[in-house]
Amino acid sequence: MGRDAVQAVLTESGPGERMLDAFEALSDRCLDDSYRLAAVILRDPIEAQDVVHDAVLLAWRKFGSLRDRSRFDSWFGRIVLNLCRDRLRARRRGQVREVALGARLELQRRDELGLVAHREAIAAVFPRLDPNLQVVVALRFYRDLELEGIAALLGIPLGTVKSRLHKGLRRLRDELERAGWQGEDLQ
Amino acid sequence: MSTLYRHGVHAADRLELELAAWLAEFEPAATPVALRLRTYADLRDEAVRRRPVFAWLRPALSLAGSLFAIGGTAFALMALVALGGAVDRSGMGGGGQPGTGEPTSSGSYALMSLIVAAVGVLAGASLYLRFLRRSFVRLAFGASTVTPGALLSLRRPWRSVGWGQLALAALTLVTAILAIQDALASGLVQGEMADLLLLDLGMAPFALAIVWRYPLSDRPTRLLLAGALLSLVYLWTGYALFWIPSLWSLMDPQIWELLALYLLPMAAQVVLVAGLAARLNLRAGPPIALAALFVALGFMQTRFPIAASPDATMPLLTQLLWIVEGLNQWLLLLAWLAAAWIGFAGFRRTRSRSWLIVLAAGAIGASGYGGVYLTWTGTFVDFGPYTGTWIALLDLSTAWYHLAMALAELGLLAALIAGLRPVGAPAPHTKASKDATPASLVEEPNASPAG
Repeated sequence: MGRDAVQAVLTESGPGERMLDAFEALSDRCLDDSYRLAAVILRDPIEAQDVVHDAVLLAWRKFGSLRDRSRFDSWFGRIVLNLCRDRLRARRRGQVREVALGARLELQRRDELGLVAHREAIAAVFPRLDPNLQVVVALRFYRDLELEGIAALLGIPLGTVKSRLHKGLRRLRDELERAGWQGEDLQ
Repeated sequence: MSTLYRHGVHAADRLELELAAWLAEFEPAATPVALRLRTYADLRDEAVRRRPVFAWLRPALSLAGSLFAIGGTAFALMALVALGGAVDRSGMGGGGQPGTGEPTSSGSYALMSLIVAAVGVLAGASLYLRFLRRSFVRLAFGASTVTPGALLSLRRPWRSVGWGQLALAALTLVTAILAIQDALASGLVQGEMADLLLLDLGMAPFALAIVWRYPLSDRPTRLLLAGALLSLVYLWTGYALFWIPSLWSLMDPQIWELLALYLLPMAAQVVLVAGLAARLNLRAGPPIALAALFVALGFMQTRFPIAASPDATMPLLTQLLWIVEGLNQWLLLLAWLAAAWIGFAGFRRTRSRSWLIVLAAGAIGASGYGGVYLTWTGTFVDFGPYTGTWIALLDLSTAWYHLAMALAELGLLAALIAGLRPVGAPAPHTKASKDATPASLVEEPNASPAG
């Protein structure tokens, strides 16, 4: 599957085998990136695989409704983020997952500057944030997106992104201070 | 660790840096090959699957249907309120408490009816809001998707009977003796307390039956038990208030009344029915049209306490009491209807006769409120003054109410003892197949019910 097929899907609108090939090429282009982002947002690679899998199928079902196919990447990204948010919401109703044992051991090994304590505190507090806030914070600090980019990706106003980011960080600070972090730890 | 992004370029302080680093810890090294294989294999399957014609129309129709049902119910209720108010004002008859023969004296009737109707419509509609429904489902079923456990054996050695069960058995016995004594000494209990203490033979042994037959480790069992214990508390609150009159002075008598007469039975019945639904493992509610019918029936049921309510000059607590009484009757009727629905769904899915008994108990329990509809009819059809046939009908409906409640409760007890099998549990084994099946899969004869 090469550039020709991808180009074809941008101009072709009818269903068929060629359309499926082109869709596969388009979605495959986004797959790695989406999987990484989902794994970070969900903090669980298995769930991230499920999300990406579901996103591809959902995108295929809705592909006919995508008017501007040159914007496939951001459209698909939004599907992935929405599915991640749904999973986070479902998880909040269940139990908060612990950090994987491997990650904990790795953190403990490098705890020269008290990193384990700090990151464990973050790990305890971050999942308690509203899923909308978690997604925005992850896009900002993991993806390093500009605020405008986050707004475009999520399809929400810039002001909402700012307020969610502000609220997310403020809650993190409040919770961490309550958990015993000193002022200098947060600066 | 990823090298794709420079994590934390926007970090302004240590917290944000730590946050960026912590998030990056979760970045996987590479995309698993299995993910691609599975995703694109499923995509190919999805692409060749034939989609139903007009599949896109279904969600829209479903939404429109839901909205129409909710709106239609609301409109019907408001129309009933307006019609009922007009009938009352024209002095055509009924509207008093069933069996009392009291004429309507309500100046604030229309307002109270509107409040109850609005609360009812909001409550009914809220069940069709997805997040609320999910909350209810989660409350009843918990996060677990495990099928409720197998029934415990009815016969078991004395050694396996726990202290908790013995205590419940003793409590049940005492409660039953008191209930029989009250029934025999008619006239001993008077007024509204009669309703409270009448019964209640049926509900007293619920808790014992539940801990005897169902594994306590299951959430449905705990819900059922909570409902049964609440009904015991309800009974004993009534006895305590009757025997120790000084208790009334501890709180405002109306607050006692609110608690003992309305809130406790409401809570007991609702929790018990939630336990039944959880035991069946039934997560879907009735169709919205049926639910709307339930709500409308319930509203008609509540009309009478409200219609007989005093005027607006009464204290706020008294007015609140009237509204809660209306809601109490509404909820109790809905609970019986829900039990009937659960019994129906249970029988259809499991073909178990126990669920059929639940269906019958629910239907009989709901029919106990039939007398109210008789009175309701009386507001439209002029049966003449409150004499003769009319009073006999009202007396009959009151007697049927008590009989129906007793029958429904005994039916529910019988179903609990016979054993309610959840959806997804193995079918009961015949004698021939039992020989080939390990005993542990059929029942747990020696298992402790507390386990």
